[in-house]
Amino acid sequence: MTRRQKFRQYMACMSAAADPKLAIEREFYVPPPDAISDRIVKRLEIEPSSRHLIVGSIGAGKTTQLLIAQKHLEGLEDVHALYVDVSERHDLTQLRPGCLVALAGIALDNMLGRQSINAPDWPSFKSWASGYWTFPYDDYHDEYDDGSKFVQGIIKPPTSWPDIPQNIVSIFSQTTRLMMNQGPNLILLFDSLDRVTNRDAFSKIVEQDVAALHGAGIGLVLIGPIRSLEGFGRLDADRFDYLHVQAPIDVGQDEKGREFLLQVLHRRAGPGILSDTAAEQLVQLSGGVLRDLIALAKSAGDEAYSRGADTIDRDHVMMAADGFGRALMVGLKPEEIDTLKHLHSTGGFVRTSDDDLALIATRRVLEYRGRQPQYAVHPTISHLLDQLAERP
Amino acid sequence: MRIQPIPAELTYFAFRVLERPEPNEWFALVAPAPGVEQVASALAEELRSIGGIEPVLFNIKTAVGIVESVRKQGNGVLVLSGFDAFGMEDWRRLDADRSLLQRNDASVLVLGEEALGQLFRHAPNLSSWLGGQAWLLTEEDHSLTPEERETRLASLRDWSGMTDAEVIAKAERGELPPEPPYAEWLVLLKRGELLD
Repeated sequence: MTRRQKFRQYMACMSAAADPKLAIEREFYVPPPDAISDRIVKRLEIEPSSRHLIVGSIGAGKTTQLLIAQKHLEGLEDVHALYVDVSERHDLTQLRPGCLVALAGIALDNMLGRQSINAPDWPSFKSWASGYWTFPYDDYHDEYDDGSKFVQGIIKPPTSWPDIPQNIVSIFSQTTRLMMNQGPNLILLFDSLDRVTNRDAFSKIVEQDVAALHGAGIGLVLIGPIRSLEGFGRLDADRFDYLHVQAPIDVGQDEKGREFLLQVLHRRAGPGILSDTAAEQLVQLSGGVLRDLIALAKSAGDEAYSRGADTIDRDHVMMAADGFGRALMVGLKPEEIDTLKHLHSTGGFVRTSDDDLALIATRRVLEYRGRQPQYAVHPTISHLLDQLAERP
Repeated sequence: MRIQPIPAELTYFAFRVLERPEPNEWFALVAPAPGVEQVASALAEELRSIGGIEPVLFNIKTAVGIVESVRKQGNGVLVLSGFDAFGMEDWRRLDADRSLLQRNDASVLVLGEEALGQLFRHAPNLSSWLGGQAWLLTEEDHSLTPEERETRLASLRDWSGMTDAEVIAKAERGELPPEPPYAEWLVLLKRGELLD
């Protein structure tokens, strides 16, 4: 294998933005210590209609855990587990009560395929969920030559629909209960709701859709916004039976977590290209964020290759970390830089404002969950903050 | 003092893009705000000339526009510009739609520094895909020291089994294979004009 082939192979395995399904298919998945997916599966095995909320920082591996949980659940003979990436099916900026119930119904309908759901009111549910066509002479607006027009379903609902119609909840509940009496338990796993920025919309979804799905006896796992851990967001979390936090790994304190991250690197890198020192350094500089670990490993590979090296060493990692940190510092407001400097020099950080939360959401500040949350600046920006402190 | 992304000259940046042929790679190139469109065009030309590929260039007007463009172009390198007119809502919209932006090839965002700051602030999910791959466009190549340049040339000679003179002669005859390392070799020898 030529040097270029060796590095290309390495780079192909360090794709931080690739679809997590692809990483699982390629057998890159390494179970983290006390994996959330394991906890969720064990609970759902004995409480199939329990409700689970997963929250955590960006790039911590939430979607991977959801997919692994689905895979394990699908392996159980009395369970159908359906994964739905909400953002692929529905505009998240138009989130309204009823969206999850609608998507759940569509997913069920798709799962059954040709053997359609045998319930008399199901067509009404489908029309509500996916929209329907009307034909000429009722409220005539010519969209096509025959005068037919499409009436949008819940997937793009008009703002005048504030709640899920009760008759729809009833149809859904009766139909799914009928199905589950005859067959396996249904479990739905909803992804991407952590990207919802409208707090009220998310709260309404939790209040109405989660309740409707639970009422129908369906198990539920949902990835939600990290603010569900804070203040009024806590009310949303309280509507679930179990809350699971996928936080970065505190590599300074958590020996098992550190070993896990090293295993992730070794599984992907293969032998003879990444030195042990470089791997240790990558784990340290990632701050315990999985996606950042992989992205840094890739950038370090870039640096080594373009400098003519045969293996990736500490210096290449440091160069990659410098680039990573510089990108992470772009666009910070002066008061945010002051907050970061303060945290870096004193260890003090109090989450009081949206700006503080934004520093966590954008991974400039990492939050480690223990008995008490601990905060640290992302390791790749530490040295840059030192530079700023020297030359204000 | 202001912290900025690592500087990169256009050809060097183009190599970085070409050497990452994996699915869904995202890059940001920061250019002076008034000249972003020209830089995007120049980058597309550079990618064409060095890599022998046909990148698709889009000047995006809205967040919905980028999703539509990306969905239409699942394959091939995309060069996207037009983000400097984006407001907070556009970035948030784009962030919410991140799953729809998964592609099979590289995507490059060419944008001003302020727009990059907005991307990091309002689209944290999308910016996490960059993974630090944000570069500041410069005229001069600051990326390699003379020693590193020589090491890189040595590894290219080792890889191909050719000398510098042989590579130049092949390029002059138009016989150089259309692979990025040969283009990089010519650039390192300051003979980039042979790529035209």
